[in-house]
Amino acid sequence: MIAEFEKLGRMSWFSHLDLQSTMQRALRRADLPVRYSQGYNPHVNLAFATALSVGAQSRCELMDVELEEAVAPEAFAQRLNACLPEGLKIRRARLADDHAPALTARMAEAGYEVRVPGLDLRAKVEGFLASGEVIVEKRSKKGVKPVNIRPMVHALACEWDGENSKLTMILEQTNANSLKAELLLQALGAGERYACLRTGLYAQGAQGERVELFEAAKE
Amino acid sequence: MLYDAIAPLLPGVQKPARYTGGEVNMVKKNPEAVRVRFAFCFPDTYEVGMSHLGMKILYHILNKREEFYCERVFAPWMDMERAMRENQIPLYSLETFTPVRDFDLVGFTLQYEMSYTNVLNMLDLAGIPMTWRERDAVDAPFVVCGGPCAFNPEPLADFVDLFMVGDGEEQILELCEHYDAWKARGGTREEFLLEMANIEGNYVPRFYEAQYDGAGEFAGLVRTRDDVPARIRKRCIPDLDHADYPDRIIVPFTEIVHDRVMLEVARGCTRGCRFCQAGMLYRPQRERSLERLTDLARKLLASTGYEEMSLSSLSTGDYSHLPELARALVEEHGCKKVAISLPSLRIDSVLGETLEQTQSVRKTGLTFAPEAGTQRLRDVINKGVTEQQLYDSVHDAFSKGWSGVKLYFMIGLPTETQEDLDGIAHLAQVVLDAYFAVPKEQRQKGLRVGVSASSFVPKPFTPFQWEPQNSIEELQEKQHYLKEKLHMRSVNFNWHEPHLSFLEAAFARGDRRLCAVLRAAHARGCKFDGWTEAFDFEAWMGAFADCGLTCAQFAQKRFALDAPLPWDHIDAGVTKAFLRREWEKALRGEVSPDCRIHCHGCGINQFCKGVCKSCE
Repeated sequence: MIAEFEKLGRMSWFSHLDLQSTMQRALRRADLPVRYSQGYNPHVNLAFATALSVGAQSRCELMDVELEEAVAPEAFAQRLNACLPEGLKIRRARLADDHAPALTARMAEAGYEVRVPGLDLRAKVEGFLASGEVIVEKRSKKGVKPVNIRPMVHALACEWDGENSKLTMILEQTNANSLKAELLLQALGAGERYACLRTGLYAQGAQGERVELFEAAKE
Repeated sequence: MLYDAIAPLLPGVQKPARYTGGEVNMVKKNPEAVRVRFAFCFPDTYEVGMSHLGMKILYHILNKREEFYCERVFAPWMDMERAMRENQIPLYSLETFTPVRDFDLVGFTLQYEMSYTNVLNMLDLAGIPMTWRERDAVDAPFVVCGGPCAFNPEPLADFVDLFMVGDGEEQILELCEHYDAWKARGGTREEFLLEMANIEGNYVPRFYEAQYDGAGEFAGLVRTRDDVPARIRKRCIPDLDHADYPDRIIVPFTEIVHDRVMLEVARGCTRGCRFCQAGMLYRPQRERSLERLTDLARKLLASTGYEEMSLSSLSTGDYSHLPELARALVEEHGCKKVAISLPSLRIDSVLGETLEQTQSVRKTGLTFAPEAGTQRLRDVINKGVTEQQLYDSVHDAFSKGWSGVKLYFMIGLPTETQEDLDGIAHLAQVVLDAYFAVPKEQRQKGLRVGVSASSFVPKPFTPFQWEPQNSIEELQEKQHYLKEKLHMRSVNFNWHEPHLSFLEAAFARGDRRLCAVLRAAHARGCKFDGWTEAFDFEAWMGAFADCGLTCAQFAQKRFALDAPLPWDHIDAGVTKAFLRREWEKALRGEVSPDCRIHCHGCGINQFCKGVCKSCE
């Protein structure tokens, strides 16, 4: 079963690891026929498309849950929602083919909306879009290394309403290469007091067009 | 709402989910629609506090009543505290983000002495005056305390309006009911507290006065008015089976210390170890029935989705129906991949090999607590473990595939000699021998023997309550000696910080003079004393000096047998005569067998009539 869910408000403060146990326990409370892994510490076979940074909200997280027996997607969403805390909510669900590629394998891009209070970032955004190369220090497990993030920004726009900058962005998000919204925000000098909302996870369609990952995972 | 002011701080602190609540099974009520609001404060971090069973029980009991609302408050870690102070954010509850100062009743549970500075710091962060005198002047919330440390309430007497001593299930409801009635009819704070002081189990320190002799030593506590009881009897729930117990508990998002369903199978212990305070305070031993426990287990697992459950009590191995309970739980919940944690010692006898293979049972680490190195000293402390039992148990475990074992000891016990320290090293050797006695092809590789030595802390209401603690130097010398002795292959020795035990000893047996020390320590920035990264011994010594006192005069005091003790006004059910008899037997090296075998007349059966099965 592929399910899209939102993670809003207070629910944005726990980590990806915490999300895993939270979902597992919700599935257990809902008494859904989940499939367990083998081994000494059996756990629910559950995979997320991608992690969300602590503090960020989302209305489009995706997870893939293996079930032992068929459940109608509407019933799945309804039963799970009855067991989820306020702020976590299944928006839609659909059956997935057991042999379909994993969500992570199909994922290409992620979209965000960010509100930055008190800073007009329009000029910075224009400058960023005009450059061919923007090098930032990217921290990974192997240490810090310089990376050109410009090609990983597939869309970027900024509006200013007199009080807040509202940024919309679509960033590369694949298994091999991904750009976190924080890193771009840092490069734009957005400070630390911003509110980040993930608005979409996308795959690449047959003609290279942008399609919703939720839909794409159907085939 | 306060949340909007808090959210911007969260990206800058560790583990922000500690500060935002909203967990599954959190109780939501309209604060406007309730009559009494109770802030249940745990003076430590979220992960520690959320693991505490007492809080889960009382949260459930209070919130079952529509007209009361109990909310949770934990001590923010130092990074969050700094951010809150910088942004003028007061201490708040996780349920509704309400400032703690806006509650009717602010309750703290006192689980260990080294959390007292956190109590003061949390009041400070809440903007609530720390002493009851100051609070009277501004009509701040009442501050109430319970938990095991409430059995010697004196070091907190200046700060607390009301102590609740003993089992809290009934007491906490009475408190809210009386508060509600008092608020409705209008009256003075003193009138309310006087009413409370006359209910069993309640101690209102302002109605009592400490006396000191010519040398400034504690000489007794007297009541200042005759309409309050001279002695405060602890509360005791005689029938645990009918006592309320939560059928749903909050499931935290972020990992806590004990992240599982805890099923309290029994309260109290019959073993009578002479150093153990809990073993005396929670008498008589009471059990829940098999039916009640299997029913609770079913409801708790269904309402939480937890994948693990532990059986909780002071001595779960002694629960009368353990084999039936374990089997029933494994049979019912094993298919849902629920692991039942059992005390490792009893697994084989309880379940047999077939069930062990189902993997539905998670063995807790293999641990043994001989507590002392020689049979002589184990007899002194009445710890009924023999060398042969230890050998047999670990040999059996090693042949079943275990390769790690932990041994717990105490140093600085009364009558301890060098021979007893040598005995600790000897027992480590016994464990090694047991391992090598298992044929090589049968035993697991990678033997690890952990030996841990904590420092003895004399506690009120134990037979050792009169005894002095060793000095820090003595304890360090013993630790050093053991470190040399335990320089063995596969053995890892670790010890507890003796400076912390030194302070713990002072506060465990201290009197009202320590209130000033506590305030001075808080002023010098002491908090989270139980955490190595926060503990500041120099600041503490400075605080004692500020008050013209020393920590040693409390920790290393030998009380005369007939001297008044700072906790004499509390009646814990066990009599002073019994504790004295046990102390005398200890010095003679005489054991007192488990009281299910033989009654030693501790007094609890007269106190809590007919509950104690062994004395019938």
